[in-house]
Amino acid sequence: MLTADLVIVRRRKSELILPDLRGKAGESVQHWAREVLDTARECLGEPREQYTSLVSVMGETTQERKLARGLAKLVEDGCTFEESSSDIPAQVRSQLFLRSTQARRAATSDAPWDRERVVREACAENTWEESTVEDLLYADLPGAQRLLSVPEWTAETLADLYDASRLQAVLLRSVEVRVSLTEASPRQLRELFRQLKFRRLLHRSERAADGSLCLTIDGPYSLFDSVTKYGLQMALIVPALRAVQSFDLSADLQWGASRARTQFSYKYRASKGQAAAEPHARAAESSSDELEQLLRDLAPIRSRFHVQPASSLVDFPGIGLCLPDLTFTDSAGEGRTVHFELLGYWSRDSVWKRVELVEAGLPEPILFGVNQRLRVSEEVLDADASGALYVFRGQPNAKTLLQRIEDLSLRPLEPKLALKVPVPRKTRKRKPAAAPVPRE
Amino acid sequence: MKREASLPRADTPSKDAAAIVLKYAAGTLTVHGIDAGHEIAERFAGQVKWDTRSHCFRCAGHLYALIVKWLVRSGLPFDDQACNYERLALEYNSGGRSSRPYQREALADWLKEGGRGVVVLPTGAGKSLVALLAIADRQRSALVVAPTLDLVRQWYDLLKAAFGIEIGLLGGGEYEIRPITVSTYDSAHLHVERWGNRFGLVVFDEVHHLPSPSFQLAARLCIAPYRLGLTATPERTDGAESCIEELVGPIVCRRDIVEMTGEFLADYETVRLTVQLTEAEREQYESARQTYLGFTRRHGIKFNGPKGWSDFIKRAASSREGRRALDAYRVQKSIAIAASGKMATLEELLIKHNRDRCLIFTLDNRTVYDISRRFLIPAITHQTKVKERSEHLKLFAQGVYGAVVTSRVLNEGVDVPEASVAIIVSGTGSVREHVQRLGRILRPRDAKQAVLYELVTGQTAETGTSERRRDHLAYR
Repeated sequence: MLTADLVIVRRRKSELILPDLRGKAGESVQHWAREVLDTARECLGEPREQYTSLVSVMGETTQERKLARGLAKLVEDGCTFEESSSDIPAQVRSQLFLRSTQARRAATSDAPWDRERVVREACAENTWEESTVEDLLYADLPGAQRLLSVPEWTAETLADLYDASRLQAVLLRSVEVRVSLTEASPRQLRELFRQLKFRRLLHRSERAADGSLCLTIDGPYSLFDSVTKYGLQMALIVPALRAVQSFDLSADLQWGASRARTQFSYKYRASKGQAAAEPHARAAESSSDELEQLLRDLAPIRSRFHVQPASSLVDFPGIGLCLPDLTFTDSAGEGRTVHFELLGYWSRDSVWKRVELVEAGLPEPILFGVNQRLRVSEEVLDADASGALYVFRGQPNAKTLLQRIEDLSLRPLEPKLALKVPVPRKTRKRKPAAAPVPRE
Repeated sequence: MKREASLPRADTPSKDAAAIVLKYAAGTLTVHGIDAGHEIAERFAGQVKWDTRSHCFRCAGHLYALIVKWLVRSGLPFDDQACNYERLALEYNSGGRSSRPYQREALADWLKEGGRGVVVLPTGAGKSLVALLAIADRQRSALVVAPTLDLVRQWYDLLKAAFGIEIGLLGGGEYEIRPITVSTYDSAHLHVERWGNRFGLVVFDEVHHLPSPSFQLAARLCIAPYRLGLTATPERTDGAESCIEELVGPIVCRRDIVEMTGEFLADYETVRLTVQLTEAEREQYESARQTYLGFTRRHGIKFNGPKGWSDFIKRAASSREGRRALDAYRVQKSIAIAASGKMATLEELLIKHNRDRCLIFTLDNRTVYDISRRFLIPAITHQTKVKERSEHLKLFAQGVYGAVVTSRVLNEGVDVPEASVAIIVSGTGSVREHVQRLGRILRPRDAKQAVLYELVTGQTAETGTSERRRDHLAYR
């Protein structure tokens, strides 16, 4: 992934622009992509520092140098390097340093300290090959790792990856990102929402008057901390966005060393077959470890509810489109369905929004799984509400979850339709907050 | 709580109603209950501002003590809901380590300044003991902020031994706040908005780090009335130390190496050894130097100005000639700092001091690893894993290893009292760096005689660099 310092940008007042990579600029990217890939292939079997030193001098102009460094970083990320354990080099060092200190202390003018002798004796004592000891001494330094494989990318593939990575690097500095999706298919939208949830990104969505979907994602710089961790998740949503083939994006950024407030806009229209060719468009993970574990725990439990990952988007008034995580269907009764959504731990606000929604009434029952770290009490919702909270510590418990689903399925549903009048927050029964808990 | 004392205290509660209410809000102090025309705006013009959204006055947290003092002196009753730190009942255990007269004087001078200020003592003179005395004297919840995780660990052990209580930790994956807590500067500035009102005393170790824009926040957003800065070298090349006075206080006590040497610090001498380039090195050096100097002359770049270097980089990046000049600059510099003559001299010094503990310092990691390979000496850089680094330092302290080579990571803070010889193979022109490196060998131990060797390549730009970094009393 590119970092912000490796991205070539232009500034126009308070606006940040990513230069168009078509035409001459695109040719330049492809030229340097070829150069970098060729260099990496020439360095196969050589230490990493050989590759890095060769690519560091590439490029004539400042822009070319930056471009080559960016491409080289992407190739380096895709390469495989020898994974040398530090155990043996550390052992070699320890032996040599000890023996060397002793030899230096015993040295006289007639018998001065002799490096070769120190190495020879250490090798003899430890049955090491003298020829390999020099290489082993600092073999665990990153620069000494041998290059084992170079990704089988063409210059075009690398250039396309570079294009996507530029956007990722920009979004690392975002405060808020707004995406307008006009041509997304239901399947693409489902996958996008699954990724948003899996990446635990704080997002809201709503349908615009023209039917397009407006997605707003909180950027890493909207958080007080965990900027890097959240930023990485933010960047990893880019492949899922590009899979939608067409989107318009605008963002508020904090750019540069001064973190100046900057505007950014970007249009993406995939060329034919582009998504399939993208090296990063591999089968995306789409289910969190917590959810996977929960499904595994639920499997052996006998219940009248059949559980499966949710497949349809639900349009919650006031919240927008949501993808519940699981759907529980009552096989014994009228086939009643209860949804389950596992909420991330970034934001308490997302819990309160769902509480407001439940208080207004829902057409289908839904249980929200909330981590205890968000300091929300289950009692904020009435016992006869159309939804409920399940507050868990660490990992949701499968048996408790099933019990809650069953309880919820028995509640009568009296949908009050949309949230016409939001419930004032001060009337809610929140448990008093305990000591501040850090976000992760 | 209504305040009556000259400084805010956490132990004077009063239930009386007051018109003015002080609150702590995410790093700021808010003053409620008065209107926009109140005299506080004039008294603290430019510092306290009317917040139209919240309908209250607002200022950075560090002004808390000043505002409380002013309210008390003005006889204005107020309800202090901002202060959330505790009065402690700490029992100080000196562990048989009695304080020295200058440490007690430093504490007295700091108290005289109202518990705000910077104590400047040479490395090895026991700055941390002054901080322990201050914490024991003030008995307030205290936060110690240090620049590296190594130092945070050292402080953690020190505080735990001194006060016999559990110590909180922020940084390095830890997040636990206790009445006495140690934090890195990084964690302090990241999290201060949350707990900036929970400490009455903040100790800034190596306070010369504080002026960086983000680290400043740690001091700016917390309300602690008592503030103590510790350093051996308060001056910065960018002159940014003036903000230390604003955020921590003035220098209240200053002792230099020379006046403490012998009695409280090890006796030392400094030796400058000049080596010469070989013929081949000289030829290459002169050629590269002419290339880069020619470029700077043609473009009127002056390195003695504050923007000389950045001007050079900017111009070098914009033309092929400039990039050649930049490469030439690097070549001539690397020849000077790693001249073959230095390696020969280093070999002689290692034999000469084969019974002593030697710390070898370089400017860059490449030279560290070159020396480590060539002389089979343990190396410590940022790439050295924690376990191996601890092992190297332990064996060095025990005398199993006679030398350790490092670049800048051991410049400050890490305690290696056994070291008596420092060999500066290369370094920057920074006085602070040079004084810190000297400080590493000055911790007194068994009538130790310390010596610092500085290897300088003659007739190169390094002689000027050496002159600049020796511009300190300790080298006269």
